[in-house]
Amino acid sequence: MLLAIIMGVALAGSLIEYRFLARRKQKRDLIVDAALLAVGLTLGALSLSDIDLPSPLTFVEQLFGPTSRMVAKLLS
Amino acid sequence: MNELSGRQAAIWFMLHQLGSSFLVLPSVLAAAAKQDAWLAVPAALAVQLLLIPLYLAIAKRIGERSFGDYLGSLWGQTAGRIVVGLFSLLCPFLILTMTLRNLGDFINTSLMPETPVEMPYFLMMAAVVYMIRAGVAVCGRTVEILSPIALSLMFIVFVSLIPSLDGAHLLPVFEYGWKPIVRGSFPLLAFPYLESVLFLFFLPYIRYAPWRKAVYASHAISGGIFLLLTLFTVAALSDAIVANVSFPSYFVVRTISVGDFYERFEVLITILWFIAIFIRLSLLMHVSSVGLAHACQMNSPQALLIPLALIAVIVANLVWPNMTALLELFNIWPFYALLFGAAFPLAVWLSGRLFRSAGGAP
Repeated sequence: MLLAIIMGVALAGSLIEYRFLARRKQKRDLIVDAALLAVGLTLGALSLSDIDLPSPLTFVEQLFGPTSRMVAKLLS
Repeated sequence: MNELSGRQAAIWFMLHQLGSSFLVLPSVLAAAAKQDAWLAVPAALAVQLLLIPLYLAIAKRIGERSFGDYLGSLWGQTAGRIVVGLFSLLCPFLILTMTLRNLGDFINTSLMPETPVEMPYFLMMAAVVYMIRAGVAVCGRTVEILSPIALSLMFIVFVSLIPSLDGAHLLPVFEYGWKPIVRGSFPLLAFPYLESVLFLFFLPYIRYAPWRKAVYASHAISGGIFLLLTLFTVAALSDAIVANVSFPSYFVVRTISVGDFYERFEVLITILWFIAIFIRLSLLMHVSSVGLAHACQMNSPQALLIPLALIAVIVANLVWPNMTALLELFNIWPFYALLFGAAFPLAVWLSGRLFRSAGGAP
């Protein structure tokens, strides 16, 4: 539930930001910012609805797990 | 230029390096190297000393440009932008979420088990976003103001620990040979030290000479503190205990008790750690926002802060399922860190030497 409030605060903060950006006609900034915020809100909505999201570290583990085990064997 | 003084940069880098490692590291070192854990610190620093000249050589070529601009001049604007964008997402931003999770784990297990973990995330990220928005000069001054508090707290903690030290816990030295020490030095090298590549992003705000001094000074001070910290925790608690508690430096301070009156110092180390984590998060946040803003050719990196903070809060909850997974990660992370902390700067340096004309200043 707390996450929903945080998402609301982030959204409100971004909307204030967008007014400044729009006034200064920084269109690119606005688009990138909005896209990232959309990513954040989607992730938040997914985790609020209890969908298991993959950890970004799984790819690190898959990439470097074998090397790590090999070195651990060398040094034990 | 000159937005950051040499001293501010040194303190910022130093507290960044202390950051999350200060609390977690002794247990990782002791698990690998037993009573020789403290020897892993000089071993890691020795390897890092080989890498610092690489960073310095790159920094010299960057001059007053931003890191992104330099990569653009080396590899072409588009390639430079893609590389900087990927780098800031995969290195500083990923570390940011992990650091945030460290904070959450600590608060949830040791301080406030019933508070929903999103609350400390939110409060901390709000402070970080607020400070980074204010600009690098303000960050520098904040760091400068906070540093005496942090250092005096550390001093009190170390001095209070002296009566409970037991040299016998450190003996015998080299009982298991050099291999465990090397294995123990990996996490230390990876966790704070290979992240020094991020300091290259600060060159637009500070001249090369004070930057170089700041890099060396931060390594020396944080290295000294890590050495003292592992020595003191292992000597006070014995390696078996240090290896088995998640936050040994917090635990060891709880054991301070002189005459049943001079005790309960864990609050001090909590404050100290919050300061260090705050500064670490702000450095990582600054670098990720600047890098991403360069990749997307934005005018103001500040616009990225709120969405990045939101994503960090959410991702922090799912980077690892529990503390055991974190300990497993400590074995794998060093290789990932080598990719960004050693292989990547090496590639930059080599291409800088090959394309001397494109790289600008000789």
